Amino acid sequence: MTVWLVRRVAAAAATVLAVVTLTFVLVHAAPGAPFLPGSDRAADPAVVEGLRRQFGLDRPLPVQYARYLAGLATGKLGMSFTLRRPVADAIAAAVPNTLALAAAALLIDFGLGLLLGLYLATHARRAGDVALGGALLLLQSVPTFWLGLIVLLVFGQWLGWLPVGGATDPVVYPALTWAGKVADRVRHLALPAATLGLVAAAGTARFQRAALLEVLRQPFVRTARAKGVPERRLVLAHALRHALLPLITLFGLSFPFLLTGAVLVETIFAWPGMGKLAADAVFLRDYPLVTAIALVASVMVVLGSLLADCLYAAADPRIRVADG
Amino acid sequence: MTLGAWLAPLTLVVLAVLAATVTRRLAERRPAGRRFFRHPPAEAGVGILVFFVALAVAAPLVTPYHPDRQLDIVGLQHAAPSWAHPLGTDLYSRDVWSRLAFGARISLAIGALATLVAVTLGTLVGVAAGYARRLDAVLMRLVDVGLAMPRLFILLVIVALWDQLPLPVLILAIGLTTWFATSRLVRAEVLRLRELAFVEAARAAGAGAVRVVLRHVLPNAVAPVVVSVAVGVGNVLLLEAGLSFLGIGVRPPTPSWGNMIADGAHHVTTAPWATVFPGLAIALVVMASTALGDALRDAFDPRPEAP
Amino acid sequence: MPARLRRPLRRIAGPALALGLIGCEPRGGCTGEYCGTLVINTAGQVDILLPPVSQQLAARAIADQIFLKLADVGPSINTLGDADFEPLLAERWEWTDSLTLVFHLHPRARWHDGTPVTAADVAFSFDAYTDPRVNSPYRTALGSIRTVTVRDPATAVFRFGRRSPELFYDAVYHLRILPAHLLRETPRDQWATAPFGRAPVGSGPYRFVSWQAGQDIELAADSTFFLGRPRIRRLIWRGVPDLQVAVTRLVAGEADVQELLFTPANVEQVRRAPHLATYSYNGSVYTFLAFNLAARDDTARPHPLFGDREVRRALWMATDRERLLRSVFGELARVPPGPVSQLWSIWDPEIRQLPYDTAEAARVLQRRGWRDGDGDGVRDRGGARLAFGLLVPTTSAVRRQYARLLQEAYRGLGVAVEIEEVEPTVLEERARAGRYDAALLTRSTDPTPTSGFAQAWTRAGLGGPNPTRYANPAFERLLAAAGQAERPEAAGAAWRAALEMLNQDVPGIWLNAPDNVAAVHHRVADVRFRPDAWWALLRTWRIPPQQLIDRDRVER
Repeated sequence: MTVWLVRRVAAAAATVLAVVTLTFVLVHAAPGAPFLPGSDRAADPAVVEGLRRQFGLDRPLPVQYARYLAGLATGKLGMSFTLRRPVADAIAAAVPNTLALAAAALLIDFGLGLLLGLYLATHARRAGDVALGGALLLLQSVPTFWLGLIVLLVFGQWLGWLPVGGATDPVVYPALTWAGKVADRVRHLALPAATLGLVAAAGTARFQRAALLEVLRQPFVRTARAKGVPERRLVLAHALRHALLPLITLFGLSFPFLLTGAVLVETIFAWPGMGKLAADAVFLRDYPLVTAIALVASVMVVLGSLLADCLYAAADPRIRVADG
Repeated sequence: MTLGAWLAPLTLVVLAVLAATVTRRLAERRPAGRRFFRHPPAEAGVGILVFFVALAVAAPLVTPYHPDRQLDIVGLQHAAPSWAHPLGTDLYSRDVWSRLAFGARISLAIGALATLVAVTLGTLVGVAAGYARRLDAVLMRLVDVGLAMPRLFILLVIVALWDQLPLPVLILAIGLTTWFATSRLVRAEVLRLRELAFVEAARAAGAGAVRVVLRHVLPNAVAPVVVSVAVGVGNVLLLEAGLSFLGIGVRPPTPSWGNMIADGAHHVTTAPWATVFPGLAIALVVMASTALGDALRDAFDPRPEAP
Repeated sequence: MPARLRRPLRRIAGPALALGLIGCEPRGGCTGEYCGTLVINTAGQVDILLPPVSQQLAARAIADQIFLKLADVGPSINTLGDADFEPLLAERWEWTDSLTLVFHLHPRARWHDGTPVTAADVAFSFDAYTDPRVNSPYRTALGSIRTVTVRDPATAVFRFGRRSPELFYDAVYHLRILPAHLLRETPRDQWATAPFGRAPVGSGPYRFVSWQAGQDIELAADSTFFLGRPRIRRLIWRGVPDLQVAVTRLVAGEADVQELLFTPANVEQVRRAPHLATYSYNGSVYTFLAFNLAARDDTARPHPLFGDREVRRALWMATDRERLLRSVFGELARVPPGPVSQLWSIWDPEIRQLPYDTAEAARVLQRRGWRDGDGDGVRDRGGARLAFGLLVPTTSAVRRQYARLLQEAYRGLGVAVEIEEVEPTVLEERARAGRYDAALLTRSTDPTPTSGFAQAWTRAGLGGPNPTRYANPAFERLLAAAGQAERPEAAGAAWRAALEMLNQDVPGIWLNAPDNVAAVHHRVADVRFRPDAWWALLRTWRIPPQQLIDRDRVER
């Protein structure tokens, strides 16, 4: 078991290094340069040149790469060109927001998805299945950002139930009690998490439906039914447990989706998370920030899949032996 | 719009319904076909796809206006749907229906071609990894790297490499970033097939690896590949829409469903028709392709009726 | 306690306790003249709150509440002489001779940490702004000042190199006074990332409170501000990158101020909201179609298409600028008579420009040999097509709209336009390097044309601020004459001559100069916008006590 684990961790580290190097090369090769003052002022070449020198961009590329890796080894992620502060600070401020959004979206995704999948499977091929299945299919087919704009419009502006954008209330948040702060954050989290989560839940529900129907066809279920076990107990106790296993893989695959799908949602809802930070960084050619985000994102994803693999291996011993 | 112009899309609808019914009749002669059409959405899916493909092919014949023509930039901007413009006009006073039809060409082409690239690459890698154990470790690490990188992020960076992205490169880029899941599925299938008797027999009879793969493994591994294609088209369409929203994608004035939504995204309240119709088109095609994917999965893998 | 008292006591104890609790509930929040919280939508990113090194416009609005200048332009935005300027950090000033200016600092001026503001701070600030190690974008703007010296703690002396009517403007407009005692220790070459820039200390009407990364920047009024305590207690800037979402926030009542609504649709939406008021003020930007007069790969040779003045003039005449403006802006913009913004007094609709005349445009192209030989709808000459690429940034919805409209307009003339939508950094890089054919550029201007105009249209700006590579010695002479004019009337005539020459040479097509329409919550009174810097008079806005809403009453 430990050998397997060590090997997987080593592979994970190699993956992360590959991702970082690839990003570094790509972003430096891209046309356009950092330090240009935005599109309504002409750039003063002397100022731009001075900034390039100050941030070390006048060295040859391999030297920059080496210095970057050396910095990584000592835990320094560099200084952001656009935010004028250490990259680590910027990311540290954004990561909790992304994690909060991803966690809330995953909660909606799996919670709602499971419930809906159960309903669909137990009412398979009846009117409820067709109608709900159709609605879920439609939900899954709509561009996420479009859904986000509609949701924002309906709940933020027309109904006014939930706040429009941001993670906290700019005015009252510091003055709230602890409970009030949590409530405020939840209110701001609701719309973006719902946008991401609902679309994902639709997919999970349909996946769960298929998995449950698969299990319900198995001989052992038929035997149990013949023995007179009530249908509800059958579904909940026996079938569900077996159908949950593939969910673990789905969890592993969902994580990157949430990180990337989040870019559009974060832009629309002005959610100060990593997706928006990443998009801005790429647009403004903030090299250290881009590579650091690639690093952090790939670490999170690799850890997620490592975790999923561990869970899977713990549940199913055959995997460990076969992969070893 | 003249009566003739209204008749043309109706003809397409009739054509689609006919095609769906005929396909069903023909397919139900075989057990796999019956399994395919057991899902109610499958028939609708076939009909929808036929409608949009026919629309794309016959676009110049069914649209009264040229898609790029700005009819009256002051008087006809964001005109509501009317007899003359059944789906209204957009920000540049261009007819939405015409743009939708021509946009079908671009969007479906991107969907099909990018998916082709992705599935081909994914299948090749999946087969290689599943069959040749030595390649497996390396290739699967590559797939892990690919899955680890946030896709939109990678696309942003790739797109940034070109000053102005030509369409073929965009298709290639989308294809190159979406093949990873396919390779995993194909690999799993190939691993399963390897252990089967007929493959063992072929190897024992002395057939070379390539021959075994081509004649025995690949034809039987078709199921996950075809399903990937069906589902992949939908994903690519949604990805293209997202890229257009961020300002990357098909160059103006060429319409694509994604950039139609992007053009109208900031006027959702004042002119919803500019985004609703292309959004609906995307949703319908994605739904159809997903339904077809489900049905194909069922057709390839026989299962007894659910209780 | 005697037994007979206990029972009635118990009977009233309950209600008394309840009454006491209710009665003793503290009356919540701030009341009176000096309350108020304004939530301000801001679209741009704020990089750093240290004026000499900040490059983003969004940061200036905030930094100018924290840091003061010596004096500032008045409501007329007249930059000539010193009569129309209003004192700020300097209480009064005098000219001891035509090249020496003496400022007397306000005796009650204080930094937010209590230290008095002295002339040493002024000298230090000038030194920092002009230090090449600090690498400030404003260094060249301060070029006419030779030295700044300290006569005594309350007196600073500016000496200039050459006479000019705008010496006072040069001295005060860009120079924000910084605290020497807090910045002296920071190495000059690290000012771009100085931690002071994330927790600034200034002498202005508002002090810095907090900066939540990626979200909000909060400022609080300085109650001891020497020019009068600001009436509005808290200012909170929230970054909202998407315009539609920003307007949604306004309409939903979650934001109070937005400096720019951009589109007629947004203005309409805001006007329909009962709790919002709109304010119109002159815009400070203009957009133009820039032609690259030099060849893409070799700046010494003329551009194959746009090196020919007649081709440029033909394209101008084929552009119905008024109609394009109406389509994009409705009534909210004006066609500029030159590369000028509405801020400048030299804006004169009488300045001669080429007319809109598509027939003449076609004739000009025919005369130059551009005919459609192969019938593909695009003119050609000697095997080359009359086709060019138009660079547009992906981030500007207005310019993207213009690009599509222009593409279609020129198609009718037989000119093929390929729209290249690129990221803003790519646009700036290619414009600087000359690797483009035509581009839609927007320039935001200072209150006076003299600072940026020469850079943009003369040989001095080649390879940088002059993307068209326009170089005309006759024009430069006219420009020099205009810069020397002492009074507005003489300046007007000289500028008119210069602009008319520019309009004959057509290095670009001046497309629009938008009006700015701002939205402010209707409870805010005394709202005034100074066109060159909408935020300049924020400290004079107020909320009457009877109009306070929940947001205003929150105690911090």
